[in-house]
Amino acid sequence: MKAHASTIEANWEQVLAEAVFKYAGSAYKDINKMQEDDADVAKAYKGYVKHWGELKGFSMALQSGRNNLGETAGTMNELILFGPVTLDNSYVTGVTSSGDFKREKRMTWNDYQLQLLKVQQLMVDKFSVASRVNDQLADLGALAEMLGDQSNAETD
Amino acid sequence: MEYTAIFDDFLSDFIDPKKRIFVGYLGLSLIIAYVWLVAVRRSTLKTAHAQIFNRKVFFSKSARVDYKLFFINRAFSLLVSPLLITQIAIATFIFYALHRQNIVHSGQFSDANKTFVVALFSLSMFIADDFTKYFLHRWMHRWPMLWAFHKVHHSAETMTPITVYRVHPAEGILYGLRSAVAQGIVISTFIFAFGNIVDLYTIVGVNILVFFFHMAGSNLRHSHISIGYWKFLEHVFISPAQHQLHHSVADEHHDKNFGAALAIWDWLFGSLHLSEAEKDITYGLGLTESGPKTIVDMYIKPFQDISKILILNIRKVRKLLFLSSSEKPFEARFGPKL
Ligand SMILES: [Zn+2]
Repeated sequence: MKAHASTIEANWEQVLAEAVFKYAGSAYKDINKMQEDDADVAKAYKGYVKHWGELKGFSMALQSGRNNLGETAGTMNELILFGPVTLDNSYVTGVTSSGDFKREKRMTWNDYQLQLLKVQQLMVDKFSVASRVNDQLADLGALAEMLGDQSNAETD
Repeated sequence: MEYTAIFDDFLSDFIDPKKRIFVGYLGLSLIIAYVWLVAVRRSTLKTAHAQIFNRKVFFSKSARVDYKLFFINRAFSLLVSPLLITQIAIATFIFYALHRQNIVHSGQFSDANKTFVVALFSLSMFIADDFTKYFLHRWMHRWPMLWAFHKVHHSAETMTPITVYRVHPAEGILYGLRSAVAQGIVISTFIFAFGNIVDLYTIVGVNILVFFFHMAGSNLRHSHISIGYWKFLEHVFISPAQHQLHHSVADEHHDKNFGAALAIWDWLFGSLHLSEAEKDITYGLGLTESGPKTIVDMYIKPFQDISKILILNIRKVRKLLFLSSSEKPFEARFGPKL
């Protein structure tokens, strides 16, 4: 029974890590969509906020499991942030004494996308995520593989 | 592994369209050679045949060494295979780094015309590959420590398509690293700018431009069939005759035509030499260079040469330090002896 429980625990963690991976990728894509020339920004932003919410939710669930994630949890939270980067590129850094959100810091979309990539990498490194939905680096890897076995060591 | 399986593995390059010695490319090179000799040089078919299948070339001592190296180097080719990991690592690193600038955002041009993007990617890949090949090749000639390795290739005194395998494994690794860097840069930049529409135009799995390079008789570069192009074309593409000239012992051909497919790099950087019809070329290292004499030498001698260069340099440095302090003549330091 105990063995079963730990298997379920490990599988559950895996499922959550895969969800974090997936929604980090969704949010990345949404940011691209928002920046398109003919973008319906309001609609794209809505999608982005929704996916960010899923990302945050699954990342919270991941760190509230039985295993203490320690440093990984800290890194993950720093990368995902307290709240999404909003349209004016500000984001929540904490709460003031009067209970308002502090949002004095700004971050470019590129920078935040980089953090989302790092979230995906973290999931791969720490939980060996196998099912990689919305993998931003997948195209990179596929092209590298396609070119990689061309006869590049050929000299003259 | 069964004996036949090992043999199959050794000969797999002949049936792999990604390799220069793929039978299809060899066959086409052969046809080009016949057409050239009969239609341009006005030979009879019989003399063309005799000239192409010259026993003195294919069974020369140099060629027989090439055949042996072909088999031995297969084993070393395994050293190059981990390079894919390096390539992905480089691509990922640059892809991350591109997020740190704010001029272009990720996927900014993802609505570009796909045909255009794929064509641009295929072309950029080909040019980046060819450009880095030019520079590495140039360095292999100009830097004594790299020349120690590249000398192995230039020690060929007759050339056949198999001479492309007369290469020290260290050179193979350097070329592999070069391609990892070139491809890593191009792949990451394109994915960042264009997103997932990036793809490569291929024929039989090969970049279409590389395919045409091989179809145009790339095997004749290492052969005795001296095909030259028109002058203007030899400024754009390296002809077989131009590469043969690169292997010449003559002083005026020294350090010319480093290019692989494109001649424009040689043209731009002052190392272009057009082909010269009716001029017999002697291939090899010439009298002033000592090349490897045995098969073992092919692998060992570069390292001996390099250690000699290192020792020489250490001596030079020591001499310099010595002279500036204690090795100065007595008078110079303390004035005339009394
Ligand atoms: Zn050379």
